[in-house]
Amino acid sequence: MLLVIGSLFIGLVAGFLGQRSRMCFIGGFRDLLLIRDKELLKGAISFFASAWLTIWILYLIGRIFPFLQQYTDVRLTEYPRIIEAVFSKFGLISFIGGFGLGLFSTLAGGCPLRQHVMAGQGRVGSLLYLGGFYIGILIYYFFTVKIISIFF
Amino acid sequence: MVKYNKRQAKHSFLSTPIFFGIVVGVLAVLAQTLFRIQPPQAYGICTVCHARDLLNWLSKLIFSYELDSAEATIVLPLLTTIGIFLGSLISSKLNKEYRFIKTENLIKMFFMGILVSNFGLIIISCPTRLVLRFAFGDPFALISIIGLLGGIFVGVIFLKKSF
Repeated sequence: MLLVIGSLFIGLVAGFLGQRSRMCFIGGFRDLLLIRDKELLKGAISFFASAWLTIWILYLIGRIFPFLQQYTDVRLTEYPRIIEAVFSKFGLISFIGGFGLGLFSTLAGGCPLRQHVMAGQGRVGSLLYLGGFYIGILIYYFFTVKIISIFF
Repeated sequence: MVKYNKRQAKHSFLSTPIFFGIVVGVLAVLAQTLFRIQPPQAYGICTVCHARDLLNWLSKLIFSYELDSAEATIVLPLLTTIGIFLGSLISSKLNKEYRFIKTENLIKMFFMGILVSNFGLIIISCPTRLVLRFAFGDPFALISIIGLLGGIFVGVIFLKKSF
Protein backbone atom coordinates (compact mmCIF):
# COMPACT_ATOMS: atom_id res chain seq x y z
CA MET A 1 0.00 0.00 0.00
CA LEU A 2 2.98 2.27 0.68
CA LEU A 3 3.93 1.81 -2.97
CA VAL A 4 0.57 3.07 -4.26
CA ILE A 5 0.34 6.09 -1.94
CA GLY A 6 4.01 6.97 -2.45
CA SER A 7 3.84 6.89 -6.24
CA LEU A 8 0.58 8.88 -6.20
CA PHE A 9 2.28 11.49 -3.99
CA ILE A 10 5.30 11.77 -6.31
CA GLY A 11 2.98 12.09 -9.29
CA LEU A 12 0.93 14.83 -7.60
CA VAL A 13 4.06 16.83 -6.74
CA ALA A 14 5.52 16.39 -10.23
CA GLY A 15 2.21 17.32 -11.89
CA PHE A 16 1.67 20.39 -9.71
CA LEU A 17 5.21 21.74 -10.17
CA GLY A 18 5.28 20.68 -13.81
CA GLN A 19 2.16 22.74 -14.47
CA ARG A 20 3.63 25.79 -12.73
CA SER A 21 7.01 25.59 -14.45
CA ARG A 22 6.03 24.14 -17.90
CA MET A 23 8.85 21.64 -17.43
CA CYS A 24 9.68 19.37 -20.37
CA PHE A 25 12.75 17.19 -20.75
CA ILE A 26 12.61 17.21 -24.56
CA GLY A 27 11.94 20.94 -24.58
CA GLY A 28 15.29 21.86 -23.08
CA PHE A 29 17.40 20.90 -26.05
CA ARG A 30 14.64 21.77 -28.55
CA ASP A 31 14.27 25.34 -27.26
CA LEU A 32 18.05 25.75 -27.29
CA LEU A 33 18.11 24.83 -30.98
CA LEU A 34 14.92 26.65 -32.02
CA ILE A 35 14.74 29.88 -30.01
CA ARG A 36 18.00 29.93 -27.97
CA ASP A 37 16.13 29.65 -24.67
CA LYS A 38 18.02 27.89 -21.84
CA GLU A 39 15.29 27.95 -19.17
CA LEU A 40 14.02 24.37 -19.60
CA LEU A 41 17.53 22.96 -20.08
CA LYS A 42 18.42 24.38 -16.65
CA GLY A 43 15.50 22.37 -15.23
CA ALA A 44 16.75 19.11 -16.74
CA ILE A 45 20.30 19.77 -15.52
CA SER A 46 19.10 20.62 -12.00
CA PHE A 47 17.04 17.38 -11.98
CA PHE A 48 20.19 15.44 -12.86
CA ALA A 49 22.33 17.31 -10.33
CA SER A 50 19.92 16.98 -7.41
CA ALA A 51 19.38 13.25 -8.07
CA TRP A 52 23.15 12.69 -8.27
CA LEU A 53 23.78 14.66 -5.06
CA THR A 54 21.01 12.80 -3.20
CA ILE A 55 22.53 9.42 -4.16
CA TRP A 56 25.92 10.41 -2.77
CA ILE A 57 24.55 12.06 0.40
CA LEU A 58 22.58 8.86 1.11
CA TYR A 59 25.75 6.84 0.46
CA LEU A 60 27.73 8.97 2.94
CA ILE A 61 25.01 8.70 5.60
CA GLY A 62 25.09 4.92 5.16
CA ARG A 63 28.85 4.86 5.67
CA ILE A 64 28.74 7.07 8.79
CA PHE A 65 25.80 5.27 10.43
CA PRO A 66 26.07 1.60 9.37
CA PHE A 67 22.83 0.60 11.12
CA LEU A 68 20.90 2.77 8.61
CA GLN A 69 22.42 1.05 5.59
CA GLN A 70 19.32 -0.90 4.55
CA TYR A 71 17.51 2.44 4.19
CA THR A 72 20.27 4.39 2.46
CA ASP A 73 21.69 2.02 -0.17
CA VAL A 74 20.03 3.00 -3.44
CA ARG A 75 22.75 1.78 -5.82
CA LEU A 76 22.23 -1.95 -5.44
CA THR A 77 23.37 -3.36 -8.78
CA GLU A 78 26.59 -2.51 -10.59
CA TYR A 79 26.53 -1.31 -14.19
CA PRO A 80 28.96 -2.44 -16.93
CA ARG A 81 31.69 -0.10 -18.15
CA ILE A 82 30.92 2.32 -20.96
CA ILE A 83 33.08 0.50 -23.55
CA GLU A 84 31.48 -2.86 -22.77
CA ALA A 85 28.06 -1.22 -23.03
CA VAL A 86 28.70 0.32 -26.46
CA PHE A 87 29.76 -2.99 -28.02
CA SER A 88 27.09 -5.17 -26.39
CA LYS A 89 23.87 -5.95 -28.28
CA PHE A 90 21.88 -3.58 -26.08
CA GLY A 91 24.07 -0.65 -27.18
CA LEU A 92 22.51 -0.36 -30.63
CA ILE A 93 18.96 -0.87 -29.39
CA SER A 94 19.45 1.79 -26.69
CA PHE A 95 20.52 4.23 -29.39
CA ILE A 96 17.56 3.38 -31.67
CA GLY A 97 15.07 3.66 -28.82
CA GLY A 98 16.47 7.00 -27.70
CA PHE A 99 16.48 8.33 -31.27
CA GLY A 100 12.82 7.42 -31.88
CA LEU A 101 11.79 8.78 -28.49
CA GLY A 102 13.48 12.12 -29.23
CA LEU A 103 12.21 12.45 -32.79
CA PHE A 104 8.55 11.65 -32.16
CA SER A 105 8.39 13.54 -28.86
CA THR A 106 9.69 16.64 -30.64
CA LEU A 107 7.07 16.28 -33.37
CA ALA A 108 4.34 15.79 -30.74
CA GLY A 109 5.51 18.91 -28.88
CA GLY A 110 6.68 17.59 -25.53
CA CYS A 111 7.92 14.62 -23.55
CA PRO A 112 5.34 12.19 -22.06
CA LEU A 113 5.45 14.01 -18.70
CA ARG A 114 4.64 17.33 -20.38
CA GLN A 115 1.80 15.69 -22.34
CA HIS A 116 0.27 14.34 -19.10
CA VAL A 117 0.48 17.85 -17.63
CA MET A 118 -1.07 19.46 -20.72
CA ALA A 119 -3.88 16.87 -20.71
CA GLY A 120 -4.59 17.92 -17.11
CA GLN A 121 -4.83 21.51 -18.29
CA GLY A 122 -7.51 20.54 -20.78
CA ARG A 123 -5.76 20.23 -24.15
CA VAL A 124 -7.71 17.92 -26.44
CA GLY A 125 -4.62 17.04 -28.50
CA SER A 126 -2.79 15.84 -25.40
CA LEU A 127 -5.79 13.83 -24.23
CA LEU A 128 -5.79 12.01 -27.58
CA TYR A 129 -2.01 11.61 -27.26
CA LEU A 130 -2.59 9.83 -23.93
CA GLY A 131 -5.15 7.57 -25.61
CA GLY A 132 -2.58 6.62 -28.23
CA PHE A 133 0.04 6.26 -25.50
CA TYR A 134 -1.91 3.63 -23.57
CA ILE A 135 -3.05 1.81 -26.71
CA GLY A 136 0.58 1.87 -27.88
CA ILE A 137 1.63 -0.03 -24.76
CA LEU A 138 -0.81 -2.81 -25.67
CA ILE A 139 0.39 -2.74 -29.31
CA TYR A 140 3.96 -3.12 -28.07
CA TYR A 141 3.21 -6.33 -26.18
CA PHE A 142 1.06 -7.91 -28.87
CA PHE A 143 3.06 -6.83 -31.92
CA THR A 144 6.32 -4.88 -31.60
CA VAL A 145 8.01 -7.15 -29.06
CA LYS A 146 7.73 -10.05 -31.51
CA ILE A 147 9.41 -8.06 -34.30
CA ILE A 148 12.24 -6.98 -32.00
CA SER A 149 12.85 -10.53 -30.79
CA ILE A 150 13.53 -11.59 -34.41
CA PHE A 151 16.46 -9.17 -34.77
CA PHE A 152 17.88 -9.24 -31.23
CA MET B 1 5.58 24.83 -30.11
CA VAL B 2 6.06 26.55 -26.74
CA LYS B 3 4.53 29.99 -26.38
CA TYR B 4 5.37 31.80 -23.18
CA ASN B 5 2.56 33.93 -21.81
CA LYS B 6 4.29 36.95 -20.35
CA ARG B 7 1.37 37.85 -18.10
CA GLN B 8 1.59 34.50 -16.31
CA ALA B 9 5.35 34.42 -16.11
CA LYS B 10 5.80 35.98 -12.68
CA HIS B 11 9.34 34.99 -11.91
CA SER B 12 9.01 33.61 -8.43
CA PHE B 13 11.51 30.86 -7.78
CA LEU B 14 8.77 28.37 -6.91
CA SER B 15 7.51 28.30 -10.50
CA THR B 16 10.81 27.87 -12.33
CA PRO B 17 11.99 24.64 -13.97
CA ILE B 18 15.02 24.70 -11.63
CA PHE B 19 12.76 24.30 -8.57
CA PHE B 20 10.92 21.44 -10.32
CA GLY B 21 14.25 19.76 -11.00
CA ILE B 22 15.48 20.05 -7.42
CA VAL B 23 12.28 18.82 -5.72
CA VAL B 24 11.43 15.99 -8.13
CA GLY B 25 15.08 14.88 -8.39
CA VAL B 26 15.34 14.46 -4.62
CA LEU B 27 11.93 12.75 -4.41
CA ALA B 28 12.71 10.35 -7.26
CA VAL B 29 15.78 9.02 -5.45
CA LEU B 30 14.17 9.00 -2.00
CA ALA B 31 11.21 7.05 -3.44
CA GLN B 32 13.43 3.98 -3.58
CA THR B 33 14.10 3.96 0.15
CA LEU B 34 11.02 5.69 1.54
CA PHE B 35 8.33 4.07 -0.62
CA ARG B 36 10.27 0.92 -1.66
CA ILE B 37 9.89 1.47 -5.43
CA GLN B 38 12.68 -1.01 -6.24
CA PRO B 39 14.26 -3.69 -7.31
CA PRO B 40 14.67 -2.07 -10.73
CA GLN B 41 17.15 0.63 -9.93
CA ALA B 42 16.32 4.29 -10.73
CA TYR B 43 12.58 3.64 -10.91
CA GLY B 44 11.30 6.55 -8.84
CA ILE B 45 9.59 8.48 -11.61
CA CYS B 46 8.79 7.27 -15.12
CA THR B 47 5.72 7.79 -17.26
CA VAL B 48 6.10 4.95 -19.78
CA CYS B 49 6.97 2.16 -17.36
CA HIS B 50 4.58 3.18 -14.59
CA ALA B 51 1.75 3.38 -17.13
CA ARG B 52 2.74 -0.10 -18.30
CA ASP B 53 2.69 -1.43 -14.73
CA LEU B 54 -0.75 0.10 -14.19
CA LEU B 55 -2.08 -1.48 -17.40
CA ASN B 56 -0.51 -4.82 -16.49
CA TRP B 57 -2.19 -4.76 -13.08
CA LEU B 58 -5.55 -3.90 -14.64
CA SER B 59 -5.27 -6.61 -17.28
CA LYS B 60 -4.33 -9.18 -14.64
CA LEU B 61 -7.33 -8.09 -12.55
CA ILE B 62 -9.90 -8.03 -15.36
CA PHE B 63 -8.72 -10.44 -18.08
CA SER B 64 -6.18 -12.44 -16.00
CA TYR B 65 -3.71 -11.89 -18.84
CA GLU B 66 -0.20 -10.84 -17.88
CA LEU B 67 1.75 -8.36 -20.05
CA ASP B 68 5.00 -7.62 -18.27
CA SER B 69 5.93 -5.63 -15.20
CA ALA B 70 8.80 -4.59 -12.99
CA GLU B 71 9.61 -6.68 -9.94
CA ALA B 72 8.43 -4.08 -7.44
CA THR B 73 4.94 -3.82 -8.91
CA ILE B 74 3.84 -7.43 -9.26
CA VAL B 75 1.31 -7.13 -6.43
CA LEU B 76 0.33 -3.45 -6.42
CA PRO B 77 0.23 -0.84 -9.22
CA LEU B 78 2.00 2.52 -9.41
CA LEU B 79 -0.26 5.54 -9.82
CA THR B 80 2.38 8.07 -10.92
CA THR B 81 0.77 8.89 -14.27
CA ILE B 82 -2.65 9.44 -12.67
CA GLY B 83 -0.96 11.58 -10.03
CA ILE B 84 0.71 13.78 -12.65
CA PHE B 85 -2.63 14.23 -14.43
CA LEU B 86 -4.49 15.07 -11.20
CA GLY B 87 -1.71 17.35 -9.91
CA SER B 88 -1.76 19.35 -13.12
CA LEU B 89 -5.58 19.51 -13.01
CA ILE B 90 -5.56 20.80 -9.40
CA SER B 91 -2.82 23.33 -10.13
CA SER B 92 -4.49 24.68 -13.27
CA LYS B 93 -7.87 24.96 -11.51
CA LEU B 94 -6.29 26.79 -8.55
CA ASN B 95 -4.45 29.25 -10.80
CA LYS B 96 -7.38 29.64 -13.23
CA GLU B 97 -5.34 28.33 -16.16
CA TYR B 98 -7.66 25.42 -17.00
CA ARG B 99 -8.93 25.88 -20.53
CA PHE B 100 -10.51 23.27 -22.77
CA ILE B 101 -8.54 23.99 -25.94
CA LYS B 102 -9.13 22.17 -29.19
CA THR B 103 -5.82 21.97 -31.03
CA GLU B 104 -5.24 21.03 -34.63
CA ASN B 105 -3.70 17.76 -35.90
CA LEU B 106 -5.64 15.49 -33.52
CA ILE B 107 -5.02 12.31 -35.53
CA LYS B 108 -1.30 13.09 -35.71
CA MET B 109 -1.15 13.42 -31.91
CA PHE B 110 -2.86 10.01 -31.50
CA PHE B 111 -0.26 8.29 -33.69
CA MET B 112 2.58 10.18 -31.99
CA GLY B 113 1.36 8.72 -28.69
CA ILE B 114 1.50 5.18 -30.11
CA LEU B 115 5.00 5.71 -31.54
CA VAL B 116 6.42 7.35 -28.40
CA SER B 117 5.18 4.61 -26.08
CA ASN B 118 6.56 1.91 -28.42
CA PHE B 119 10.00 3.47 -28.64
CA GLY B 120 9.93 4.21 -24.92
CA LEU B 121 9.18 0.59 -24.04
CA ILE B 122 12.12 -0.64 -26.17
CA ILE B 123 14.49 1.00 -23.68
CA ILE B 124 11.97 0.89 -20.75
CA SER B 125 12.39 4.61 -20.08
CA CYS B 126 10.77 7.92 -20.78
CA PRO B 127 13.06 10.98 -21.10
CA THR B 128 12.58 11.68 -17.37
CA ARG B 129 13.81 8.27 -16.34
CA LEU B 130 16.70 8.45 -18.81
CA VAL B 131 18.09 11.45 -16.94
CA LEU B 132 17.51 9.67 -13.61
CA ARG B 133 19.28 6.53 -14.88
CA PHE B 134 22.19 8.63 -16.09
CA ALA B 135 22.46 10.16 -12.60
CA PHE B 136 22.75 6.61 -11.23
CA GLY B 137 25.62 6.00 -13.66
CA ASP B 138 23.99 3.71 -16.23
CA PRO B 139 26.10 3.62 -19.44
CA PHE B 140 23.12 2.48 -21.54
CA ALA B 141 21.29 5.64 -20.47
CA LEU B 142 24.20 7.70 -21.79
CA ILE B 143 23.93 5.98 -25.20
CA SER B 144 20.16 6.57 -25.18
CA ILE B 145 20.60 10.25 -24.28
CA ILE B 146 22.99 10.68 -27.22
CA GLY B 147 20.35 9.06 -29.45
CA LEU B 148 17.67 11.29 -27.87
CA LEU B 149 19.64 14.46 -28.66
CA GLY B 150 20.14 13.23 -32.25
CA GLY B 151 16.40 12.56 -32.53
CA ILE B 152 15.54 16.03 -31.22
CA PHE B 153 18.00 17.55 -33.74
CA VAL B 154 16.28 15.75 -36.64
CA GLY B 155 12.86 16.67 -35.23
CA VAL B 156 13.80 20.36 -35.04
CA ILE B 157 14.82 20.25 -38.72
CA PHE B 158 11.36 18.81 -39.51
CA LEU B 159 9.70 21.51 -37.40
CA LYS B 160 11.63 24.29 -39.17
CA LYS B 161 10.34 22.96 -42.50
CA SER B 162 6.86 23.10 -40.87
CA PHE B 163 6.16 19.39 -41.22
